Amino acid sequence: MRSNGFDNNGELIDLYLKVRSCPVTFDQRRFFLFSIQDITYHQKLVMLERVFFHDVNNMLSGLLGATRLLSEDCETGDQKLVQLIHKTSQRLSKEVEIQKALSLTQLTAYQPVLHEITVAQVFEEIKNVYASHPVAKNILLTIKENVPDLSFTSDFTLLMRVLDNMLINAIEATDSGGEIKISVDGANNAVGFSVWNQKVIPNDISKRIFQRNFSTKAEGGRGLGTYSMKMFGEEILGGKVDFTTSESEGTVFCFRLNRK
Amino acid sequence: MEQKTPVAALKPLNILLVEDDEMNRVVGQMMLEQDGHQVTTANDGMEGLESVALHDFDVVLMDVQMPNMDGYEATVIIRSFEKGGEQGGAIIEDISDELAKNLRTRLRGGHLPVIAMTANAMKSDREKCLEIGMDDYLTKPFQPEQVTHVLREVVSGGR
Repeated sequence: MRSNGFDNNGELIDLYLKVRSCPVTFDQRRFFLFSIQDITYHQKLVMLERVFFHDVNNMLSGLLGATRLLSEDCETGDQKLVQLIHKTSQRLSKEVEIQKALSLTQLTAYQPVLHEITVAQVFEEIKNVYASHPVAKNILLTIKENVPDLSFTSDFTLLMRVLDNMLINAIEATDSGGEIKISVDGANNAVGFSVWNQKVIPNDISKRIFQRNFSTKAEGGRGLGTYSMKMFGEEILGGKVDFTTSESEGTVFCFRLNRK
Repeated sequence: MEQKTPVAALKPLNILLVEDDEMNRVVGQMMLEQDGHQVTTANDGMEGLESVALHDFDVVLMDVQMPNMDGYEATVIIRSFEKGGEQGGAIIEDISDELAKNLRTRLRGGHLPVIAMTANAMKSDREKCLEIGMDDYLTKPFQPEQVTHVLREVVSGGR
């Protein structure tokens, strides 16, 4: 329901009101419970979000098309760079698509795009992203590539988002000069990616780590990293996200996915 | 990971591309021409109507949100003149008599396929595109293969 009100400057603005009612019986008398909620601010956010996604997708459309055309027709020396820009544009486009599905509607609105993926492809992508990633500077990233040919079916972008969140958390918890280890196993007809770092997660934090809006960062983050890795990994991809932490073993986040 | 799905070539078409964003317009034209199509471009709905009034096109690729006249309005006007121009109300009054006369002459009794290109991927936006008479829609950003697929569906009367 839309009505009119005034803002702080006395200007006429639209108000969005959510009106609900239901009959209730009390002391043998019948009443109507009636509530009106001002949702103007929420509606403004929804509209702003729609405009944002519209404009970003419009720009991405041109960017993706232009880089695709360029990568098909450019000098050999420039081709690697152009292909890198095109690949990054595609990643950005997928990120926006996922975020849009999660923001405006609901989680189930995103339909995973399933492909056959090999472990080698995943590690290649991690190397590409983190070789020049500013947060990974002065951190030793060790990848244990013991089963590169192991293949499984999943949504590559979402899988990378789960692993990215694990890696970023590990990197942010690690002091300069420290090490992060990534490994994979193929036990029990599944594929399991593990990300290790030395720091221990305190008991009070570990109990709440997958809750929405709970941040592992000392200076206060958005609290979406661990929440989203659980949500993407389990609710959309159908895998299992978990972690262990101890003084002797450090912290290991693991994502396991059945091989279909 | 880019997954390229092979799409069989489409016969060359005479396409009107209506798009206000310069980069999307230039890139769209290059991609379509690369596939052998002949492309005319327009910057907004009104320019699109002026082109439709003067030339025969196989299909129109129509951006939805544009200044001056958006893709919805332009499509309503096209559909109205296909039926003789008696319907369309206030929207039709916005165009000149000469443009109305040329549109009526060129469009009456026919059906010009219009494909919406929208950066809004909400279900309600897609429904609106089809409700006002667009034949299909593409959600930005799209792959060239998707464009070819939708063009084929629309010009072959599959939709």
